[in-house]
Amino acid sequence: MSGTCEHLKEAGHFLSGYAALLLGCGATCIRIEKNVGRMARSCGLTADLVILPADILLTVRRADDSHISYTCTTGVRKTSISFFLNTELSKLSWLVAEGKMNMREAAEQVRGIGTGKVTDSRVMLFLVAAANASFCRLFGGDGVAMSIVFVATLAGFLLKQCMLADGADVRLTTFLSAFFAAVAGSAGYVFGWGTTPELALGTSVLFLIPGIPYINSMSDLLDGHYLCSFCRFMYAAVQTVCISLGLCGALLLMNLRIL
Amino acid sequence: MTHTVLLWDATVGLLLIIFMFRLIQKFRHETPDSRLIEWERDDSIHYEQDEEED
Repeated sequence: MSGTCEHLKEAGHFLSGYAALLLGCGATCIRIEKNVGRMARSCGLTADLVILPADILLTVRRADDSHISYTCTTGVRKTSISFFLNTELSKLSWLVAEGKMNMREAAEQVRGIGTGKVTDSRVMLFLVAAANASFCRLFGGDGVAMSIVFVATLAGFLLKQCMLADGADVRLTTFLSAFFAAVAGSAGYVFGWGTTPELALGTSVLFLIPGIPYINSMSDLLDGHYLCSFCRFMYAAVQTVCISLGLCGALLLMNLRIL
Repeated sequence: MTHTVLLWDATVGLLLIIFMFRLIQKFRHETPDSRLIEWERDDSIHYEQDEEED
Protein backbone atom coordinates (compact mmCIF):
# COMPACT_ATOMS: atom_id res chain seq x y z
CA MET A 1 0.00 0.00 0.00
CA SER A 2 2.72 2.41 1.03
CA GLY A 3 4.77 1.45 -2.04
CA THR A 4 1.79 2.20 -4.28
CA CYS A 5 1.32 5.61 -2.65
CA GLU A 6 5.00 6.46 -3.08
CA HIS A 7 4.85 5.36 -6.72
CA LEU A 8 1.74 7.51 -7.33
CA LYS A 9 3.33 10.49 -5.57
CA GLU A 10 6.52 10.22 -7.57
CA ALA A 11 4.65 9.81 -10.86
CA GLY A 12 2.29 12.69 -10.02
CA HIS A 13 5.11 15.11 -9.26
CA PHE A 14 7.02 14.14 -12.39
CA LEU A 15 4.00 14.33 -14.71
CA SER A 16 2.72 17.65 -13.35
CA GLY A 17 6.21 19.19 -13.58
CA TYR A 18 6.54 17.87 -17.10
CA ALA A 19 3.13 19.30 -18.09
CA ALA A 20 3.98 22.68 -16.50
CA LEU A 21 7.24 22.89 -18.46
CA LEU A 22 5.50 21.89 -21.69
CA LEU A 23 2.78 24.52 -21.17
CA GLY A 24 5.41 27.15 -20.38
CA CYS A 25 7.37 26.51 -23.58
CA GLY A 26 4.30 27.08 -25.77
CA ALA A 27 2.72 23.65 -26.33
CA THR A 28 -1.00 23.35 -26.99
CA CYS A 29 -3.30 21.75 -24.40
CA ILE A 30 -4.01 18.73 -26.62
CA ARG A 31 -0.26 18.05 -26.92
CA ILE A 32 0.14 18.21 -23.13
CA GLU A 33 -2.78 15.83 -22.54
CA LYS A 34 -1.53 13.34 -25.13
CA ASN A 35 2.07 13.31 -23.85
CA VAL A 36 1.10 13.01 -20.18
CA GLY A 37 -1.54 10.36 -20.91
CA ARG A 38 0.94 8.31 -22.96
CA MET A 39 3.51 8.25 -20.15
CA ALA A 40 0.92 7.53 -17.45
CA ARG A 41 -0.51 4.57 -19.40
CA SER A 42 2.94 3.03 -19.82
CA CYS A 43 3.21 2.87 -15.99
CA GLY A 44 -0.26 1.43 -15.50
CA LEU A 45 -1.73 4.74 -14.38
CA THR A 46 -4.43 7.12 -15.57
CA ALA A 47 -3.87 10.85 -15.44
CA ASP A 48 -6.58 13.53 -15.27
CA LEU A 49 -5.33 17.00 -16.12
CA VAL A 50 -6.85 20.40 -15.44
CA ILE A 51 -4.85 22.95 -17.42
CA LEU A 52 -5.18 26.47 -16.07
CA PRO A 53 -3.38 29.51 -17.49
CA ALA A 54 -0.90 29.65 -14.59
CA ASP A 55 -1.16 26.17 -12.98
CA ILE A 56 -1.44 22.49 -13.77
CA LEU A 57 -3.72 20.36 -11.58
CA LEU A 58 -3.03 16.67 -12.02
CA THR A 59 -4.63 13.58 -10.49
CA VAL A 60 -3.00 10.19 -11.04
CA ARG A 61 -4.59 6.89 -10.10
CA ARG A 62 -3.89 3.25 -10.76
CA ALA A 63 -5.63 1.97 -13.88
CA ASP A 64 -6.74 -1.22 -12.08
CA ASP A 65 -7.71 0.41 -8.77
CA SER A 66 -9.19 3.90 -9.05
CA HIS A 67 -9.75 4.27 -5.27
CA ILE A 68 -6.16 5.25 -4.60
CA SER A 69 -5.21 8.55 -6.21
CA TYR A 70 -2.75 11.38 -5.78
CA THR A 71 -3.42 15.01 -6.76
CA CYS A 72 -0.85 17.76 -7.06
CA THR A 73 -0.66 21.30 -8.39
CA THR A 74 2.35 22.81 -10.15
CA GLY A 75 2.82 26.41 -11.26
CA VAL A 76 3.62 26.92 -14.93
CA ARG A 77 7.31 27.42 -15.56
CA LYS A 78 7.68 30.66 -17.50
CA THR A 79 10.10 30.04 -20.32
CA SER A 80 10.20 31.57 -23.76
CA ILE A 81 8.38 29.75 -26.56
CA SER A 82 10.78 27.05 -27.71
CA PHE A 83 10.24 24.46 -30.43
CA PHE A 84 13.45 22.75 -29.33
CA LEU A 85 12.15 22.22 -25.79
CA ASN A 86 8.76 21.17 -27.15
CA THR A 87 10.29 18.53 -29.43
CA GLU A 88 12.70 17.20 -26.79
CA LEU A 89 9.91 16.80 -24.25
CA SER A 90 7.68 15.03 -26.79
CA LYS A 91 10.54 12.67 -27.70
CA LEU A 92 11.02 11.94 -24.02
CA SER A 93 7.35 10.99 -23.61
CA TRP A 94 7.73 8.41 -26.40
CA LEU A 95 10.85 6.94 -24.75
CA VAL A 96 8.89 6.49 -21.50
CA ALA A 97 5.83 5.12 -23.34
CA GLU A 98 7.95 2.55 -25.21
CA GLY A 99 9.60 1.42 -21.98
CA LYS A 100 13.08 2.61 -22.96
CA MET A 101 13.25 4.87 -19.93
CA ASN A 102 11.62 4.83 -16.49
CA MET A 103 10.08 7.87 -14.80
CA ARG A 104 13.06 8.50 -12.52
CA GLU A 105 15.44 8.66 -15.50
CA ALA A 106 12.91 10.79 -17.37
CA ALA A 107 12.75 13.25 -14.44
CA GLU A 108 16.55 13.61 -14.63
CA GLN A 109 16.30 14.19 -18.39
CA VAL A 110 13.58 16.84 -17.92
CA ARG A 111 15.83 18.68 -15.48
CA GLY A 112 18.60 18.59 -18.09
CA ILE A 113 16.32 19.70 -20.92
CA GLY A 114 14.83 22.51 -18.83
CA THR A 115 18.25 24.02 -18.16
CA GLY A 116 19.74 22.95 -21.48
CA LYS A 117 21.00 24.82 -24.51
CA VAL A 118 19.17 27.80 -25.94
CA THR A 119 19.85 29.46 -29.27
CA ASP A 120 22.56 32.12 -28.98
CA SER A 121 20.94 35.57 -28.76
CA ARG A 122 23.21 37.02 -31.48
CA VAL A 123 22.36 34.18 -33.88
CA MET A 124 18.68 34.67 -33.06
CA LEU A 125 18.98 38.41 -33.70
CA PHE A 126 20.50 37.84 -37.14
CA LEU A 127 17.98 35.14 -38.08
CA VAL A 128 14.97 37.23 -37.04
CA ALA A 129 16.27 40.21 -39.04
CA ALA A 130 16.88 37.99 -42.09
CA ALA A 131 13.41 36.43 -41.78
CA ASN A 132 11.74 39.84 -41.56
CA ALA A 133 13.69 41.12 -44.59
CA SER A 134 12.52 38.01 -46.45
CA PHE A 135 8.92 38.84 -45.53
CA CYS A 136 9.45 42.26 -47.10
CA ARG A 137 10.65 40.56 -50.28
CA LEU A 138 7.63 38.21 -50.27
CA PHE A 139 5.30 41.22 -50.18
CA GLY A 140 7.11 42.72 -53.20
CA GLY A 141 9.68 44.98 -51.54
CA ASP A 142 12.86 45.94 -53.41
CA GLY A 143 16.46 45.50 -52.22
CA VAL A 144 16.55 48.88 -50.50
CA ALA A 145 13.33 48.13 -48.60
CA MET A 146 14.76 44.75 -47.55
CA SER A 147 17.92 46.42 -46.23
CA ILE A 148 15.88 48.99 -44.30
CA VAL A 149 13.73 46.22 -42.78
CA PHE A 150 16.84 44.21 -41.87
CA VAL A 151 18.39 47.14 -39.98
CA ALA A 152 15.08 48.20 -38.40
CA THR A 153 14.47 44.64 -37.17
CA LEU A 154 18.01 44.42 -35.78
CA ALA A 155 17.40 47.61 -33.80
CA GLY A 156 13.90 46.66 -32.61
CA PHE A 157 14.73 43.07 -31.69
CA LEU A 158 17.95 44.05 -29.91
CA LEU A 159 15.98 46.53 -27.82
CA LYS A 160 13.45 43.80 -27.03
CA GLN A 161 16.20 41.38 -25.96
CA CYS A 162 17.85 44.02 -23.75
CA MET A 163 14.60 45.09 -22.08
CA LEU A 164 13.39 41.53 -21.46
CA ALA A 165 16.81 40.60 -20.02
CA ASP A 166 16.45 43.55 -17.62
CA GLY A 167 13.01 42.29 -16.56
CA ALA A 168 11.02 45.12 -18.16
CA ASP A 169 7.26 44.82 -18.66
CA VAL A 170 6.42 42.80 -21.79
CA ARG A 171 3.82 45.32 -23.02
CA LEU A 172 6.14 48.29 -22.62
CA THR A 173 8.90 46.29 -24.34
CA THR A 174 6.64 45.48 -27.30
CA PHE A 175 5.45 49.09 -27.58
CA LEU A 176 8.96 50.57 -27.55
CA SER A 177 10.37 47.91 -29.90
CA ALA A 178 7.55 48.56 -32.37
CA PHE A 179 8.04 52.33 -32.09
CA PHE A 180 11.79 52.31 -32.69
CA ALA A 181 11.59 49.64 -35.42
CA ALA A 182 8.90 51.65 -37.22
CA VAL A 183 10.89 54.89 -36.94
CA ALA A 184 13.95 53.12 -38.37
CA GLY A 185 11.74 51.47 -41.00
CA SER A 186 10.43 54.87 -42.14
CA ALA A 187 13.90 55.75 -43.52
CA GLY A 188 12.60 55.06 -47.03
CA TYR A 189 10.00 57.84 -46.68
CA VAL A 190 12.23 60.25 -44.77
CA PHE A 191 15.25 60.07 -47.10
CA GLY A 192 13.41 59.05 -50.28
CA TRP A 193 15.25 55.71 -50.57
CA GLY A 194 13.89 52.90 -52.76
CA THR A 195 10.62 52.51 -54.61
CA THR A 196 8.63 50.61 -51.93
CA PRO A 197 9.03 52.57 -48.65
CA GLU A 198 5.48 51.64 -47.56
CA LEU A 199 6.44 47.95 -47.54
CA ALA A 200 9.59 48.66 -45.54
CA LEU A 201 7.57 50.55 -42.94
CA GLY A 202 4.78 47.95 -42.76
CA THR A 203 7.11 44.96 -42.54
CA SER A 204 9.48 46.49 -39.97
CA VAL A 205 7.21 45.55 -37.01
CA LEU A 206 6.13 42.09 -38.23
CA PHE A 207 8.72 40.31 -36.08
CA LEU A 208 6.72 41.30 -32.99
CA ILE A 209 3.42 39.71 -34.08
CA PRO A 210 2.53 36.96 -31.54
CA GLY A 211 1.74 34.28 -34.12
CA ILE A 212 2.21 31.22 -31.90
CA PRO A 213 -0.16 32.42 -29.12
CA TYR A 214 -2.81 33.14 -31.79
CA ILE A 215 -2.43 29.66 -33.35
CA ASN A 216 -2.36 27.94 -29.93
CA SER A 217 -5.43 29.89 -28.89
CA MET A 218 -7.32 28.57 -31.93
CA SER A 219 -6.10 25.03 -31.31
CA ASP A 220 -7.22 25.16 -27.65
CA LEU A 221 -10.58 26.59 -28.69
CA LEU A 222 -11.18 23.70 -31.11
CA ASP A 223 -10.12 21.23 -28.42
CA GLY A 224 -12.53 22.69 -25.84
CA HIS A 225 -9.97 24.29 -23.52
CA TYR A 226 -11.80 27.62 -23.46
CA LEU A 227 -10.04 29.13 -20.47
CA CYS A 228 -6.54 28.56 -21.88
CA SER A 229 -7.73 29.61 -25.32
CA PHE A 230 -9.17 32.89 -24.02
CA CYS A 231 -6.05 33.58 -21.94
CA ARG A 232 -3.74 33.04 -24.91
CA PHE A 233 -5.95 35.08 -27.20
CA MET A 234 -6.06 38.03 -24.77
CA TYR A 235 -2.28 37.93 -24.35
CA ALA A 236 -1.84 38.00 -28.13
CA ALA A 237 -4.46 40.74 -28.55
CA VAL A 238 -2.78 42.96 -25.94
CA GLN A 239 0.57 42.44 -27.68
CA THR A 240 -1.01 43.39 -31.01
CA VAL A 241 -2.50 46.57 -29.50
CA CYS A 242 0.97 47.49 -28.15
CA ILE A 243 2.48 46.98 -31.62
CA SER A 244 -0.26 49.15 -33.17
CA LEU A 245 0.34 51.91 -30.61
CA GLY A 246 4.07 51.83 -31.33
CA LEU A 247 3.49 51.98 -35.07
CA CYS A 248 0.97 54.83 -34.71
CA GLY A 249 3.40 56.73 -32.48
CA ALA A 250 6.12 56.40 -35.13
CA LEU A 251 3.75 57.52 -37.92
CA LEU A 252 2.70 60.58 -35.89
CA LEU A 253 6.29 61.47 -35.01
CA MET A 254 7.46 61.16 -38.60
CA ASN A 255 4.36 63.04 -39.79
CA LEU A 256 3.49 60.27 -42.25
CA ARG A 257 -0.10 60.50 -43.47
CA ILE A 258 -0.26 57.28 -45.43
CA LEU A 259 -3.32 55.67 -43.82
CA MET B 1 17.65 69.40 -43.46
CA THR B 2 13.90 69.09 -42.85
CA HIS B 3 12.09 68.80 -39.55
CA THR B 4 11.26 65.11 -40.20
CA VAL B 5 14.88 64.19 -40.92
CA LEU B 6 15.96 65.85 -37.68
CA LEU B 7 13.34 63.90 -35.72
CA TRP B 8 14.42 60.64 -37.39
CA ASP B 9 18.07 61.35 -36.57
CA ALA B 10 17.21 62.21 -32.97
CA THR B 11 15.13 59.04 -32.45
CA VAL B 12 17.65 56.67 -34.03
CA GLY B 13 20.45 58.51 -32.19
CA LEU B 14 18.62 57.99 -28.88
CA LEU B 15 18.33 54.27 -29.65
CA LEU B 16 22.05 54.08 -30.42
CA ILE B 17 22.86 55.87 -27.15
CA ILE B 18 20.71 53.34 -25.26
CA PHE B 19 22.61 50.47 -26.90
CA MET B 20 25.99 52.05 -26.17
CA PHE B 21 25.03 52.71 -22.55
CA ARG B 22 23.84 49.12 -22.24
CA LEU B 23 27.09 47.81 -23.78
CA ILE B 24 29.20 49.80 -21.32
CA GLN B 25 27.04 48.61 -18.42
CA LYS B 26 27.39 45.00 -19.57
CA PHE B 27 31.16 45.37 -19.86
CA ARG B 28 31.37 46.79 -16.33
CA HIS B 29 29.23 43.94 -14.93
CA GLU B 30 31.20 41.23 -16.70
CA THR B 31 34.64 42.53 -15.66
CA PRO B 32 35.52 41.92 -11.99
CA ASP B 33 36.91 44.88 -10.03
CA SER B 34 40.24 43.12 -9.44
CA ARG B 35 40.83 42.98 -13.21
CA LEU B 36 40.10 46.71 -13.54
CA ILE B 37 42.62 47.49 -10.78
CA GLU B 38 45.18 45.32 -12.55
CA TRP B 39 44.66 47.15 -15.83
CA GLU B 40 45.03 50.55 -14.19
CA ARG B 41 48.56 49.67 -13.07
CA ASP B 42 51.37 49.51 -15.57
CA ASP B 43 53.23 46.79 -13.76
CA SER B 44 52.20 43.49 -12.20
CA ILE B 45 50.36 43.32 -8.89
CA HIS B 46 53.45 41.56 -7.45
CA TYR B 47 56.22 43.99 -6.53
CA GLU B 48 59.80 43.29 -7.50
CA GLN B 49 60.95 44.09 -3.94
CA ASP B 50 58.78 41.30 -2.57
CA GLU B 51 60.51 38.83 -4.83
CA GLU B 52 63.97 40.13 -3.79
CA GLU B 53 63.08 39.75 -0.12
CA ASP B 54 62.15 36.13 -0.74
